[in-house]
Amino acid sequence: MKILIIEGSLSPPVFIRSLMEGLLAHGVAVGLLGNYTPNGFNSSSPLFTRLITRYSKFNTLRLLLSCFVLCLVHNKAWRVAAGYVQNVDGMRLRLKHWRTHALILVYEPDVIHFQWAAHIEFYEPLIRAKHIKTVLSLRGRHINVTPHVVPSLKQLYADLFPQISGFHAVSKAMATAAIQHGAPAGRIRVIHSFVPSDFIKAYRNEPFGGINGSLKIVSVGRFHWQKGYTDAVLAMRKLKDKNIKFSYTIVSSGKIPTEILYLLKQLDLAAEVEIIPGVPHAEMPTLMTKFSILLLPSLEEGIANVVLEAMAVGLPVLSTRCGGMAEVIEHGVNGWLVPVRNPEAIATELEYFSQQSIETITLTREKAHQTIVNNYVQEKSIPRFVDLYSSLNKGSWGV
Amino acid sequence: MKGIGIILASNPGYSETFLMNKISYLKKAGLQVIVFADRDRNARIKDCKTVIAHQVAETAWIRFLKIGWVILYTTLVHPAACTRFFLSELKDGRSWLVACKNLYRSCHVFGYSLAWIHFEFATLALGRENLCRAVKARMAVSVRGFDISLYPLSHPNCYILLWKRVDKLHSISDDLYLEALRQGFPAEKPWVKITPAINTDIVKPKMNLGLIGNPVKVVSVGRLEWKKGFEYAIRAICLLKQVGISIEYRIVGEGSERESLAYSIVQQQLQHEVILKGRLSHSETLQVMHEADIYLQPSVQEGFCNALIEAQATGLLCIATNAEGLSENVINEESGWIVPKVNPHALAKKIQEVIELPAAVRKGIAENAIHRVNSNFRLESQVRQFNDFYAN
Repeated sequence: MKILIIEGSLSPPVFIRSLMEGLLAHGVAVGLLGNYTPNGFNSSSPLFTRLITRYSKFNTLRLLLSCFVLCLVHNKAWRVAAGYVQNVDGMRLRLKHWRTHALILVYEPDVIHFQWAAHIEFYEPLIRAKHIKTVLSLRGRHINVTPHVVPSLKQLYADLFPQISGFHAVSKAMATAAIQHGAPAGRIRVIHSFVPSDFIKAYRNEPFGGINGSLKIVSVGRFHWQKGYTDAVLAMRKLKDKNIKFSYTIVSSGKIPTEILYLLKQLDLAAEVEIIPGVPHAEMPTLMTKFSILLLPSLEEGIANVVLEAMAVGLPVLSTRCGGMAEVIEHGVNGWLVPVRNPEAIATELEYFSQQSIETITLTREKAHQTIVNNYVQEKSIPRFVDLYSSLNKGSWGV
Repeated sequence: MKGIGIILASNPGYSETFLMNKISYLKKAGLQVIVFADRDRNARIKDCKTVIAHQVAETAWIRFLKIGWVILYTTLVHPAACTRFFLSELKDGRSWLVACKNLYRSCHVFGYSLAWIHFEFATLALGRENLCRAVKARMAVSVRGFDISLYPLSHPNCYILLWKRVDKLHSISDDLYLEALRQGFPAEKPWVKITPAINTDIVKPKMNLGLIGNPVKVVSVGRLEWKKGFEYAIRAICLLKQVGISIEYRIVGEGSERESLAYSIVQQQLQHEVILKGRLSHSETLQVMHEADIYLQPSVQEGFCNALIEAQATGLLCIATNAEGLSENVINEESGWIVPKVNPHALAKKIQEVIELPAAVRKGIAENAIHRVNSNFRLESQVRQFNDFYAN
């Protein structure tokens, strides 16, 4: 079986890298199509192929040369691809579309797996032609935020989702959202993300020792409105008002938003809140062990991978009840949940957490770890992906 | 007679009526005003000379040639001013490279006979602290909000040299002046508070002052940016809906936070209660205000806020947060109400209280608001104050 992964770049996020590694280990041939990025994903497996849509050096020259070769050597694919791009305006853009589509046809994948809904517009004629089976991953704000804000995107989803062969949803909540946008319910499979084994191995089955007089709270993730950091900061002020001893660390790379800097100054939280740059993913299990609790203040998520990772490591989790988080966390059993957009609730729950006995927290983190081991490991998810791909009948573009 | 040079980031446009008004009225008062804008938005102020700064070319070699030519030309045509500029820059410890860059950004002002150069935002004076010395003009700087409250958060101590060079500071509120002091502005240097003002010939009071309809019509005006605090207002509307108050909230404006606000509306199921009206013209905005009962200014950070002055002049029942200059704009319990910022519960509680007030009390507050604007925030008096600012 040959699967083409389209993510946009050759340097996809960790969870997509893990998917590709898992598929390769299962003997599935994987192609990755995207713009060239240095230090992008690569694999020594002979089953792996990279299809470059944009080069970093001499791009125009190399693309023209590539078009020339495609036209001469793979003339049939070149002519079929021409049919996909006839409505694209502008010679330069059309040539770009043309070459990309020809590359895909020459690779001859059994299934094209789009990782983000934002990419399907570019490949609309290819999807409509149904020459190759397509799978779309339902994750992120492309599904549950942007269509509510951009009416044209909502219309595009309504038109195109019924043309897609299969869907992978990261949570039931995401599947429900996609059905509202026109995805046929029968074609959606909920396949959970999985946690790298480093996180599971880092778990220590011993009594919880993470508070020791001061509650050490951590959040991990990029700065974006969806992540709800302002609510977290407001909650910290309320904790301070309650005279609870705590520190709050935000692990995030990139420019710190002025809003956060301003709130920290206005709310006099400079001593309690620290913002540190992100660390390599491999170092995350060690970093997580330094804290008492992970806080996910997000306004919207599919299922936040960082929560799965914290649960695997044994770091207790307090999350907002956004997206699919309630499918992973059972309140008071393997973690804690609070309503979205509610700093008071976050502060109250953190205070409650700080008053829990070591035995209670130890039991909760054990159950959290077990939840991950039972449901969110590669051994369970990869066969489900393979099954999803296999369930789609092979298509053909006529070669 | 020497003129007044006004330094702006771009020609005044949408939401910058305060600058348009100020410049037009200074012209009417007989002052010679020249606008120096860093970028051209093709919006000219009538009868006012506008000079656009040299732009930076995108292509490296064109940029290099252009900068070289402009600096050479300026040095040949204005040798004395350039010498003063370079000497001051080098004395301040700047490198030749930085001095050349700063000269390129400043030299469009050379050659004009100016008594004052007024930087309308403090951030515009950064890198141009020695411009006034070079052209022998006095230096005035306005602090208006973002420049003094937010910019230094990510650029600490950025105004040290500016405070040494500035001759007079203009602040639009007492609160921002205090912030300037905290940022190192010397207390012994002269400063003047001149609040923004509005044209009361255009903004007329509405009929039926103090009356509240069903549903209650609430309006806010401002760019969709985090500092305007609309997220907290939407949460307040959600709280009011939960207690059964029928409400219609319209937000007039556009901006980078549209996506997050639109999603907030959807997630809290307020599609029928909250409407993002987008960008409207000034007259359309006034029309929306006339149809409303309550004006909400939920800002997290705000210099003074012209829209709030206009809302008071319209006779709306104004509820604002205590963000910086807002509590100088609205007098609590007299011309409106002030609530703590970043606090949806306080906003919701105050809206409910205002709805439940006797109509006569609400009418009294609305009349006070109109009177306050007419007495304190008229363009004519603002122009008089600026005349004095430049005269003394």
